[in-house]
Amino acid sequence: MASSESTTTSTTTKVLRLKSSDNEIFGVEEKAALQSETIKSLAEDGYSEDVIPLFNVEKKTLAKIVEWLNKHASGSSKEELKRWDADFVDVDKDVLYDLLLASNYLNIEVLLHQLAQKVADMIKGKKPEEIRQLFGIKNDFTPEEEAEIRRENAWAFE
Amino acid sequence: MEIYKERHRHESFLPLIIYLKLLHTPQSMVLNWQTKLKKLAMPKVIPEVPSEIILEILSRLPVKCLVRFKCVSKTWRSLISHPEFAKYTSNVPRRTTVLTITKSLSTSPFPCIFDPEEYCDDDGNLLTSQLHFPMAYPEYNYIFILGSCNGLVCGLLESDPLIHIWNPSTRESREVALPNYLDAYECFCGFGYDSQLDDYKIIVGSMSTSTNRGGSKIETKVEVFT
Repeated sequence: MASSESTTTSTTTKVLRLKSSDNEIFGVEEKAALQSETIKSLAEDGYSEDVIPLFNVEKKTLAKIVEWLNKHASGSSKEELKRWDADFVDVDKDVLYDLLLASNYLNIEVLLHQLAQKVADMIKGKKPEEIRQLFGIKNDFTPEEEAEIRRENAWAFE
Repeated sequence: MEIYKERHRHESFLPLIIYLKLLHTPQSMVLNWQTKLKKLAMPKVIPEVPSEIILEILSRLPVKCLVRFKCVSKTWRSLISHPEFAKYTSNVPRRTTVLTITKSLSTSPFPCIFDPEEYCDDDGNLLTSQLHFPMAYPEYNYIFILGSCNGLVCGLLESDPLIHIWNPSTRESREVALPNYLDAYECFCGFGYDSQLDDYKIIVGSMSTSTNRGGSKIETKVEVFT
């Protein structure tokens, strides 16, 4: 009886250690960390006792991710979370970009959707040339091809 | 039948309410599509931004933006124009669009009047605007709305033997020839989507002329519009 009780206690407070690509270790409560499907499967694969290596995430990004995981496991009210999330994604585009890649890699769906929504809101009113610049995309249309698309869809460029 | 025809001709106000349902699919479906999308050989975006992230972002944009962003690059164009993309976006939770089409015949001398009174765009803004039917519309002519499905509107012009399938959001349209023995006044039509064949179907039934009730089925391949 006593042993089963202690097991329960230890699972609820179990801390997973996450290691960033630049070797910084973050301790995160299991409940918070398992919001990431990637961490969840790594933990299931037996990494849970050791350090879980996250090769694709740098410490500055992982710190932000850990902050998000903790907040979303803290039992805050819906309204508070909403406000907090809005502040969280209110960052410059380089940070946003790193967070997007990290949340995709860590498979944290809720965060990925929030970030994608943020980017969508950012680019909504933009022109195609601004989009190319923002994403570093090369325009591979000939001027004739581009003019054709613009003519066919003139209403969208009004 | 003549009386029925006459009554229709003089009716000055013909309101048709069409509800366009854009979503309401459980999250698991989204994941399902995500996996399916990955399997499709979708073009790769620049190495740093994986296509699945670009898709996540694009699927949250209003249609007008998407149409405009078709000219960003060939990759973006193929992502946006891909038939799977339309299905993918319809699985992303967003506001349901309710489109009310009211056709006012006697009050408008203008060609092609569709007056949607409550039209919410994808930003959630309430729009009151006129949507333009794709083809030239002779004065005092009639448009029969045969049906709508997945955001597409299927309509028929009185004087024209063509069925027009129209997407009011992207303003794209397709035409389908109607068998010439059919009189629009004397047949009943329906427009629907066959999820098994991934195809749209127009069902035309004729109750006219003779005593035998014939039903004919026109099958048509319509591309899924974004």
